[in-house]
Amino acid sequence: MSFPLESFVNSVKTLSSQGNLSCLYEFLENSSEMLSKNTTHLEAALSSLELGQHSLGILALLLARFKAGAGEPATLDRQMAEFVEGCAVDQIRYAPDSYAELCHLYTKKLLERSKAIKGLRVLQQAIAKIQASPNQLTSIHADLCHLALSAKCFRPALDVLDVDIADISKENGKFESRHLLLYYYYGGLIYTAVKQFERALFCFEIYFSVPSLSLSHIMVEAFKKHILLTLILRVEAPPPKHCYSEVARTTMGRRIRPFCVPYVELATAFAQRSPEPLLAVVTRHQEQFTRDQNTGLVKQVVASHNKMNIQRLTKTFVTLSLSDVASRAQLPSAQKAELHVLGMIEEGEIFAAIDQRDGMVRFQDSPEQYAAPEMVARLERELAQIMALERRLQQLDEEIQLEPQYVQKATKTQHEDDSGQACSSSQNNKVANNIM
Amino acid sequence: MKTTCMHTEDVMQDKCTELIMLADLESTRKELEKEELSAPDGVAPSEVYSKLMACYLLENDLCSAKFLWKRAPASAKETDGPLGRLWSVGQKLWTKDFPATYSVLRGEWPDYLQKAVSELEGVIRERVLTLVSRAYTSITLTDLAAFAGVSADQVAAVARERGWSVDGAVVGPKPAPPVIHGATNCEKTLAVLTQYVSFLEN
Repeated sequence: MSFPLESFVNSVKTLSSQGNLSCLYEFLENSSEMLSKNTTHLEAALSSLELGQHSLGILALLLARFKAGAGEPATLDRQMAEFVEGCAVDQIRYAPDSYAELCHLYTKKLLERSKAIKGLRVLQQAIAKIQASPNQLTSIHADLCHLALSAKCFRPALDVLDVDIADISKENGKFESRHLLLYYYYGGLIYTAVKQFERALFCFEIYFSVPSLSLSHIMVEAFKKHILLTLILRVEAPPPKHCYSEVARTTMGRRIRPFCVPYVELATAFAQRSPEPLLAVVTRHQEQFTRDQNTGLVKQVVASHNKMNIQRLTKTFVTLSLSDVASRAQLPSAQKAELHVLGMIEEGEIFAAIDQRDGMVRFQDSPEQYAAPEMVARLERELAQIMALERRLQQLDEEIQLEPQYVQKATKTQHEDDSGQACSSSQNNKVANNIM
Repeated sequence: MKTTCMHTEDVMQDKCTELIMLADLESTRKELEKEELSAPDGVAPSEVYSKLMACYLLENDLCSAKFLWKRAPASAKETDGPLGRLWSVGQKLWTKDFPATYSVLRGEWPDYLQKAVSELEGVIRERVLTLVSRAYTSITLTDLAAFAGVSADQVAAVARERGWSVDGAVVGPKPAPPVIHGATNCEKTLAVLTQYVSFLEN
């Protein structure tokens, strides 16, 4: 082992045994250049340190190895997996930025080799270790979702996505808005793939609430998908009084719309009864949709348009023949209409009964009485969620009220108000005196 | 060494054939998913993929089945192998082509999938017949036979078993009677309700 590395190893061992971890962190930051120059001897240095006691030192060495790109991929993977499994949590909490950077480099390497599926368990464990609470977002979350999309294996990512985020880990200042945006974009893509469209819509709506001075590509792509999802779900766009300020929403909409002309045209054509304008828009902008990799979603939009037409019929008719359904919903034949209606009954989108004897469909009201135990259980679950959310909001409110900056500002404005009122009242008196 | 290896494989196969039962489907699926993710170099033995595909089909989770097919390595996707045929069952279910589904299910299957496939056929039939009882007030015998995957002479018996009226060539399905639920604990419900009211009042 070369001399600088030997002294590095000794310093790591001394500082770790003293428990002086913040000093150790600074020392590691300063030694990163030295480590990058001595990549050939890193293996020896790694073997002389122990994982449980010298996690920070091993983290720095692994980071240097990954940055240099040297070494057998299989060995690097194994070392990464061992590190994540065995590292000491209290040590790595001093260096969350290096830890996150290590995960980013690991992800990049796996994607280059198209072995994304290997990294899913490792990153899941890595996130669980560094998170201060299960609701905290780290920059590793975006990496996990990226790997899940590349590997087409969504379960590990879904476990992480289903937990609502309440806090962001600053990672010593290295957490960027890009990580947040990518996490929600990839999360939205994953939910769309497993057809959980409401959650996907929620992920893409984040873009309306993130303040920004300029547009980013991620936002434009998210807006396009957002339009497609609102059409598939056949819901209204969120009303302006929803959680984000109206100004932010309309400004964002105005700025992004010029980049998404085909999608806006699609939305306008969707509102019409006949499927012809919709299909015309789809054919006209086929190339753009293919370039954006949205052809699957566009096909689902067309299917959703058919469903919308059938749903419109339930509002006007109680009984209708299958051939009438086909002609009014502009479907090719009565058999196709029957299949469509059957599909919608299965999904629970309409309530109807088909009578093959006369070829009629009878539309019914929702039989839901809201009295069954399942409904009660669902109510209980949702109420519990809301109560937990309210408790958290109260907590956040208290934290802000105790923040010194807020107290300063609040008292300052109060003084200004008081003095302002005093001034204006004295002015009023002067005016009154003059008149009199 | 060789005999002990073979013995372990036999034991594993037996264990896995037992595991695929409807009673414990969720934990079987989780085990298989864990096995897939911890496989060396990201490639698990092909039985894992076939069993996982069978689990997804039993749970009617066609999206997961589709992505499993997309991500399975080429080694598991041999022509006319069990994974490919299970996925074609999934495809037919997606397009609601029930007669084709049953005909694929009736082919030859390896030992470790026999039980799963026979359960799958029963589960699919049950699901389709529930849908028919919800969606149809009258349906022709031929259509019902296609949905249930039984021959024309057996379909009338199947309908009568469920208490449906058979009138010539047409069957009148009835929705299943609603399930009667047990009584709930009064005190617990009262405590929960008090919690809600106090929350709403504040």
